[in-house]
Amino acid sequence: MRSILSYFCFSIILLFTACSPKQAKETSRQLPNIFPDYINVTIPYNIAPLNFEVKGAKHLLAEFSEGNTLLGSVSGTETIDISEDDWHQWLTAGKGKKINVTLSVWDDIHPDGIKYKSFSINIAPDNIDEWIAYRLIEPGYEVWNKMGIYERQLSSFEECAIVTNRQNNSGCVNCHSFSQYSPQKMMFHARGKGGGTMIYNEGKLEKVDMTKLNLKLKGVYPMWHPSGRYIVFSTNNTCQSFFHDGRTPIEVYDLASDIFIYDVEHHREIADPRFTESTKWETFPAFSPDGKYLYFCQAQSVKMPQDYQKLKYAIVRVAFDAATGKLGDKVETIYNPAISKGSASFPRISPDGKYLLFTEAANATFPIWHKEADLKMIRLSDGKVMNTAMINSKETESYHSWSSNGRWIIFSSRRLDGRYTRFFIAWVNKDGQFGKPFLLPQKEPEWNVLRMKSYNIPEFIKGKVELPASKVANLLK
Amino acid sequence: MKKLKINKITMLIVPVITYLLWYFCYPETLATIEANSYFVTTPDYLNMKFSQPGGTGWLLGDFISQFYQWREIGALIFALLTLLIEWSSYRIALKLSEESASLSGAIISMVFAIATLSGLTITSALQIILFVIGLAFYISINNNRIRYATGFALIPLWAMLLPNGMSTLFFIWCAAIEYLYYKSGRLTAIPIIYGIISLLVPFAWTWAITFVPSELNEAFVSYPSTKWISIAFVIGLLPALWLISLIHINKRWIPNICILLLGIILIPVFSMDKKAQKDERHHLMYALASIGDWNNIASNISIEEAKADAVAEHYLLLAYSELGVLPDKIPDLEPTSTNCFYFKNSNNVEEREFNSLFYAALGLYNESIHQTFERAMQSENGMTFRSLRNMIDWALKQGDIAISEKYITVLQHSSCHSAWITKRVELLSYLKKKNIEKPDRYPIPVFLGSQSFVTEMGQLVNWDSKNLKKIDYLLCGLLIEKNLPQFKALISALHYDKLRNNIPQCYQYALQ
Repeated sequence: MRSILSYFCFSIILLFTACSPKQAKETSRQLPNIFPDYINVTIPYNIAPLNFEVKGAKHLLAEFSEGNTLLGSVSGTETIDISEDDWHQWLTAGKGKKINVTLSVWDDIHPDGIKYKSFSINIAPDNIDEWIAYRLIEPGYEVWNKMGIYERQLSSFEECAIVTNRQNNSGCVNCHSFSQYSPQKMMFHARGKGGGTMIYNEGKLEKVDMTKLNLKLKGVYPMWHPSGRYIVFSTNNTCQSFFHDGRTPIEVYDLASDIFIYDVEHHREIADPRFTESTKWETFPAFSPDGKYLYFCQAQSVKMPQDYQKLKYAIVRVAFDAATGKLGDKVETIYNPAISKGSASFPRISPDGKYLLFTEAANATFPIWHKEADLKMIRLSDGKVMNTAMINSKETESYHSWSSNGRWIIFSSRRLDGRYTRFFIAWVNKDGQFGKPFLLPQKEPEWNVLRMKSYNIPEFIKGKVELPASKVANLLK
Repeated sequence: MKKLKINKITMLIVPVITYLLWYFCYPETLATIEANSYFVTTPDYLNMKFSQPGGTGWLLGDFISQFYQWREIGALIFALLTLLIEWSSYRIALKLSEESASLSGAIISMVFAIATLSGLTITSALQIILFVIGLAFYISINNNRIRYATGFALIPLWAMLLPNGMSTLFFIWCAAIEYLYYKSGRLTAIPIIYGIISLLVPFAWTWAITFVPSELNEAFVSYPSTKWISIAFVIGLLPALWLISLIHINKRWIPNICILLLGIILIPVFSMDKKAQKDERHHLMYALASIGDWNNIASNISIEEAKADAVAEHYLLLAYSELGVLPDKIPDLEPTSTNCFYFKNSNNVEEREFNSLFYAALGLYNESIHQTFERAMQSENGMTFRSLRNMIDWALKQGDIAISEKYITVLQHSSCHSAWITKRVELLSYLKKKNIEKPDRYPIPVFLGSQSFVTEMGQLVNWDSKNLKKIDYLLCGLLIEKNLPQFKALISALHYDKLRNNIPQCYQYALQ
């Protein structure tokens, strides 16, 4: 009996010894080299765990604390995989505060472990919309293989398809847009056999062939009017040319583009002749959040592709009358390329109407292929150019969206490898100052590298889209 | 005992001959099976496979295709697959007629061997074999209850491994076996019910997984690609076996001689298949060009072959260019268009692969990558091993460290690339230390693919006026277009006589 008891106690001691985390023998004043770079980022309190990895590590130990209180520790081989429940608990309790992360690494260079300088993760007091929608497509040139529009829950790692090109004869699905962040009111285009513009409105799904409407104009880049009654489209004749050398392999450009408005209720197109004539090209239309203005990019037409370096788009705005669907007389220039020397794309107004966020490249209209493309922001009240250095990189930054509360932006960036677009999320305060952006978290950080598709057109949504998949396929036959 | 021994030996005849024919007649085709395949254990790839009916079978096919990079193994796999189908057909045929069973097996295996030569993918081959093994297994179970339970267990397994049409047809054949062989009467309805359940799988699948094919035959017949051979095989198998069973064989040696003859018949079928031979030639040309063995290409392709085959002509001209003898040799081919140099605006897979090598030879890696990327997009998986390897190598040549590192990481998730990757990782480490950034060397880049060959080559020469390869392409292009004034002006402006020891004869004629 006594020997059984001794064995039992010995086993318990062994168990505790085995389970207690080993401690690193060295310390360092340097920050650790983690992927993704989550050091000093600002995150919402309802985001999924920021799992990260250290390549080549044999063992990792991450200790999470708030002030002097240890919240928890996580260990792993190469990856720190934080429990979702623990993470959400820490974040909810730590709104407006910081989490400190102390990382110890055991590898070939430090077999006895090295403890790095702690880094912070700032938890903003603002939450973020629950879901985002985006397209996944190979960053190819002319053809594609499998693509689809997907949605991802930001508080977890759940990703599911809204529509894929299995449902439209392997055609293209693109240009999804949501009315007021609502998953119940959205549209997207399906190109190819059986294609059309799909509009999903409070459970009702319809396919619209715009070429059969009154003006026969085919919509491309869309945006809903906040009332939900209109969708503004550009109509673009898009081409591409391939560079023989250099860091930019391709230039995508329009040979012509105009804008028009589609009245969803009455199924008719409304065009203003000023914005459908051929000497000027209009594209990337966007309504202001109050619906009173229409912003879009405009350029003098040039000979393409030879003169692509001379092609510069301005951002202009014109008043919009929601009662009649007509545009005002006065066209104001908000961004003037003659002064700024760049070319603008994707004008997006913050939900509070204060800021205009856009993409600026050296020239032309498809900034994702321009390494110099960056996000820029203007305060609309006085035209002040805000400091966006925090969110830009040496590689492309391009398409972007505002969250519904105006405190977050999500944008496309190719900063990881220069070719595959990934999403970064950045906090922005009411004064237009940005926090350090963070890469959309994944369960396994390596998935950011392994995914052979680019993320496209991120849009925040307030809930999950539940499109009836079979109905979509039937409509697109 | 003696009869069984002879059957075992004769059963090997067709597979062994299949092995030898594949290995000796089509080694490059075997290697190309691997080059065009793709298998990685990345989440997106696995999700693509598991998210559709029959996807696991597709995954297995892709996994096996990797091993074709070693031709001996590729030929062996084909031989084993042939043996498997022969054995399973034999087992089914045994139930119909013992005396002709071995002959039945051999005939089916011969048809299968010919089908593999006709472009049957490894996935389709595997699915056919699973189908036949399943039938053989089913018909061998004498106990009714065990048989019905096995059929029921096969429903989810077939849903994962076979296209739905195949699994439905499987159960239809099981019903035929129940009715005709086991005389089950009303119990024949059981496999019919299984077949109906199989038929409904795509619809049920959409509830659980987002898989809604807009073309039903994608899931029904042979996802991802429809092959009439698969359809013919699974529909015609049992009727064929039944027909053969009607042959009355009264001498034991007759089937063995017939099997030997069948094996011998395979030899001319394999070695005289014109399409397969042409494909093999093209695969050989690609293989030689990809390793820069231009002398071998130049000596291997005759002028007659080049005149009759556009692909051969392109490879031959590329070899001439690389050997520095393009203007000396091109008159033999009498080209009438500058399209002889590359395939302009082509969507053909083989032509894109040539184009990628063409541009790589000129050091225009942006366009090489473009061509090989587009080729990859046209494949069933959206990527191929050949494209991925090429993109890694060409990105490394450009000093594009980040993207080559990404692709290497992806390739590390395949089964058979360790040695290949090790060498590239060494190069990558070296490049990282050198801190090379891909430069923008030209203030005004040349746009490729949207202008005439001569215009593009002219612009390239403008930036690279000492590059003899590009100059010869330009000058030969001008001669093909019979643009003598510009030819004369350029040959003088470029000081061609200083770039080369002797002016080629055709240039001399043009200058007269």
